[in-house]
Amino acid sequence: MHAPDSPDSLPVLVVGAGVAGLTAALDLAALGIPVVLVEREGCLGGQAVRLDKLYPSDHCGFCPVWTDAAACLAHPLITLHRHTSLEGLAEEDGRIMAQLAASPPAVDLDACVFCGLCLDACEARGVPGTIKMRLEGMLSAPDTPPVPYLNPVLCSRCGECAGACPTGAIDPLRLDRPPQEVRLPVADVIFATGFTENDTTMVPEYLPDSHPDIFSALDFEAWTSEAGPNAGRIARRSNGKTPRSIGFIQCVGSRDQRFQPYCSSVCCMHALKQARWAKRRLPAASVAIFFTDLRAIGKGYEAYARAAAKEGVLLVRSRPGLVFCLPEEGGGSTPAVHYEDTGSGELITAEFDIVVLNGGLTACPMPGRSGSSTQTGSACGFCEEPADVSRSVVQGSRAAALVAMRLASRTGGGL
Amino acid sequence: MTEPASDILSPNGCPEIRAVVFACRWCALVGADRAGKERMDLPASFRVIPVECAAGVEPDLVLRAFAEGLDGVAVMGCHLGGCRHNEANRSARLRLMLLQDLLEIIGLDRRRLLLSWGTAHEGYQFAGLMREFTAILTGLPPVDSRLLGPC
Amino acid sequence: MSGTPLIFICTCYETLSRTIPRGVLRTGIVARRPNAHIEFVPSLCRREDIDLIAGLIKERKHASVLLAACSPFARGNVVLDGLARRNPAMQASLVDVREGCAWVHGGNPDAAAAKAVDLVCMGLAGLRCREHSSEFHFQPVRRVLVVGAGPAGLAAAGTLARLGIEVSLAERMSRPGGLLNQIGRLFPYNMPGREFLATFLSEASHPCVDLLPKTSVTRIEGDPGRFEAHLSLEGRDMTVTAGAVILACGAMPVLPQNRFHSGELSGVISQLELETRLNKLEREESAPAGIAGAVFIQCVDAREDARPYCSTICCPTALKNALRLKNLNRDISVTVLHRGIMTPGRDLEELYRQTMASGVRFVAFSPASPPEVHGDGFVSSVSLTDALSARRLEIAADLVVLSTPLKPRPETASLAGDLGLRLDEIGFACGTEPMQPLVAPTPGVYLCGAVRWPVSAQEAVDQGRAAAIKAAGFLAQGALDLNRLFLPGSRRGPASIRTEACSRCGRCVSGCPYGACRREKNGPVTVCGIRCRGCGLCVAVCPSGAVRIPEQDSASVRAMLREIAPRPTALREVHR
Repeated sequence: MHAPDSPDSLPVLVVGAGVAGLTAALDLAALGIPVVLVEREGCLGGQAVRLDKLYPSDHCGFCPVWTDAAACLAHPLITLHRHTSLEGLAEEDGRIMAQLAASPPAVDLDACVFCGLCLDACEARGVPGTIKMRLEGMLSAPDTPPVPYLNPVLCSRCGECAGACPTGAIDPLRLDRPPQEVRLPVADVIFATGFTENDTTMVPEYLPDSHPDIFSALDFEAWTSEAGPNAGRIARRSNGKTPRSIGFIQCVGSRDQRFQPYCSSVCCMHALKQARWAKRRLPAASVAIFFTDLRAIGKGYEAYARAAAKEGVLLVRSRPGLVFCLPEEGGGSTPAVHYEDTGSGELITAEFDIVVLNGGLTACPMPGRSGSSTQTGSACGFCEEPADVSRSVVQGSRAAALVAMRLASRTGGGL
Repeated sequence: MTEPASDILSPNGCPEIRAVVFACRWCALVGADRAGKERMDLPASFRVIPVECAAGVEPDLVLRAFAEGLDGVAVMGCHLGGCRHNEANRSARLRLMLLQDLLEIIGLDRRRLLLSWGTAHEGYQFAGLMREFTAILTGLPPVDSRLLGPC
Repeated sequence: MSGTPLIFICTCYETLSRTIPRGVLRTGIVARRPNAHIEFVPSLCRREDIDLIAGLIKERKHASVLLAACSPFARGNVVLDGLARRNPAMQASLVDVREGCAWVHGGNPDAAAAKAVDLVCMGLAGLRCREHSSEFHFQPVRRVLVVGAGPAGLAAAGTLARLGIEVSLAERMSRPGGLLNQIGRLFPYNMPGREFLATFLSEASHPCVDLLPKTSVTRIEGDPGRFEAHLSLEGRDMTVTAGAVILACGAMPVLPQNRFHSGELSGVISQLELETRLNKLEREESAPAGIAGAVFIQCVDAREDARPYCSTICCPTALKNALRLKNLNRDISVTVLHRGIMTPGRDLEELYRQTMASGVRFVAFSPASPPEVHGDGFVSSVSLTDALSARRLEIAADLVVLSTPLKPRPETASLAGDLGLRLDEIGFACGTEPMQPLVAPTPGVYLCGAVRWPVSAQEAVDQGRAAAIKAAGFLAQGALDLNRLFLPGSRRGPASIRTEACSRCGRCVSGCPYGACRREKNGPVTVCGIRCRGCGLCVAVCPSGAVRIPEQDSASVRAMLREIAPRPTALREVHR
């Protein structure tokens, strides 16, 4: 293992604290390698922790991830920088210099003790509603949400909250400060920047923004989450009623020459999971998935898809041509899907009270990553190749292994 | 020698409900924590004893709780298939369900032993369970500890 | 038993005092614990606070401390962890009087105060009986046994070697490489299989790696840190002692048997056989003779009731080989009959497009009406109903290639059993999904490659590296927990047994989720410290009270119950 004061004890930079980054950081730290973990958001856990349920276990996304996040926070060899992103990498005197931008947060989650004094002060003397205890499926410290959230638009910058805060955790003046540039020498870099959901408005034939009951996949996840605004109940966003039918459309804007030609790999399973849960919560509803290829490939996934079919989820091989709105009896409108049922060859128009568009996912950029990863820099998780949680954590460990081997070869021996 | 808590009567003279909750420090304690973070209003009828795993809750200690005069015992563990200890909660569930049958045999209502397997991990779920449990216990006659014999 | 504990009550910058006034709390506690040392502090969670408390404990020579503060998930765990790191010998307990009390009973301050007093007294009662588990000396053997030298095992061995760890790499065949030996080209970039294999063979031929060809692993015994593996080399038995084990014994192809007349008609072959033929043709740079039309049939013996899974690699393999056929002779017509082309991600989807662009045709069929192969002695055509147009098609074919899945090897089950690895319904080994897919519940045991699930060679290699770093971390950290169950302040266990009380019924042995409780012949039960995770199941099933988890045993729970029980003293004494 590296001795703490050896010249080789520069830390490894891990960019992104999602499941891949957390895994890579912990695997390196287990070998005695110091790690600097930077996360653009304030919270840890990335996308996985925001999911209501994971497949194929059907358990919540929070539980499996928070212990890794807590372990990272507690580990003496891992230093976490929240609200920090990597701008680029430079070479200086034969060392790698990471150029980081630390955006000061209004609420420093490492200092916050969730006492709520800021909320009281704001309600009393500031603009009410500026501070909310925001309940999100996100991890802040090794704790559970809610965390105080300062709305930068409403905030009058009066500073009453800062005055009331006993730990100096909140300061609205930080909202307006520019990011701080930090330069950090590092021994190696692991990119684990994850993904974002594509904007489904780019696919015009599906009218994505036209109706409140047309959701993107992650939108629907948040809307129906047990930790979400409806406590797990599935309701129509347009009128609050229980939907009679839910349609999932896959490959919206992906596997599409016009937009993203490749496959995001996780959306089929994600839709199957959401469809099964929809059926569980609404046994009387009709639930259908419109797919191109139903990619249920990983361990236990085909069995999961079969179970969905058995539970009454309709699996229709079809890429619908159009989503539009039909007026509804009693006012309002409901989305309708126009598609070819390839089994029978019929053209069908079917109403769905809720339509979920699985729009594909795009890897987040990896600033400073050169083409070759043989010298320094390894990538893992979705940012490198579309992957689910299982594969992302394996890739995280793999990246850590590659870095550990490179460091070992530089010091001329084992660890 | 420490004195035990004396009988506490609520303002209308009825004995207050006292229950103990064995909460596994994974799913169940997260729910209790969330209920607290969300400042939910709960009855003060229960006291939580965090445990490493619901599988470690000893049946004879559950009986002892009743023998000591507690009105209810809740055991909260993770979802089946979600146990951090390699499915230990499955064995716990079977054991405690048998215990519920045993309670009936010795003359206690089986609902005094509440079992939750992953249904308390959200704040409102934990709150709902505690309110429901308290309401059920309030409706039952007091535990006659002589039924349970010497401890 | 510890002396009077120091009690620190955090007021969280006086916010707690709003619901539960200090005076009420102090009075309540002192009424039940006249000798209590109570200190109210505005915070416990800053580094200065933790330093101060650790210092006070040392100075006043208290052996135990009770903290009444926020929830363990807020800052409670941070404080316990910090105290444990500074003063490991001290006993500390945390009771949650904020999220667990003040914040949920804000509308009823009297009840909140009474509950807070109860919680503190429960904490004190538990603390009296709390002990540290005995330290166990864990010095793992710095050697890893890797079972199987396919791509996964080779990558694992090569990685471990470069991290300075000795490896015994057992391979039952005479040469390493596994199934990769038969693959001429790898998808998605058509890299020569030989080149890919050579990279990993060279990585694994490292002074730290002891390659043992023609050696099968018959049985693995022992405990994490010191596994004893029984190996058999051409009838000769030997043992290897290793601190950790990586299972990388792969999977095996399903043979088509007589599906689609493969035993009867010439020209109906398996994908693996096509691979072998293509390798030969490419080496000789010749075109396949006498083949005008080739038809691939996917999902043969897969994704059906008898074998309800997708084998992951058959679609990319078919596409790769279809392209190779086309490259050898552009005029061969190639049609792929499928139930969905499984090419997720960027590179594989690109391979699919490339294959389409080369003129390969794709026709989907539904499992309810599979294709039919026709011929007399030699195959001549394939007929099917196109699932997308419902039209009946007849395709001329002199070559029919059947894509079959990989299935688990028979030896997986017994080794998995030895190592405490679960198998899924199909027989593949399981890790701890989703965050530790390559890690077994038993510490020091890992799996990688097709033994877990069918994977491509690249994926197998990635998993080999991943398993290697996990094993290396285990050997480096030893007793510290890699399954992320513990932070230093919250470790429980291992369980400890009073031999004289043990009735040897064996219930704990059969119940233990980790195989930590064991019994030698007719002897009493012993607990393997490194396997135990402190879940307490043994305690719950023991009829004689012989086993306990020192951090929270029956006595402490009984004492806690007594604190909140409403029974008057007299009755309790009579029944003691």
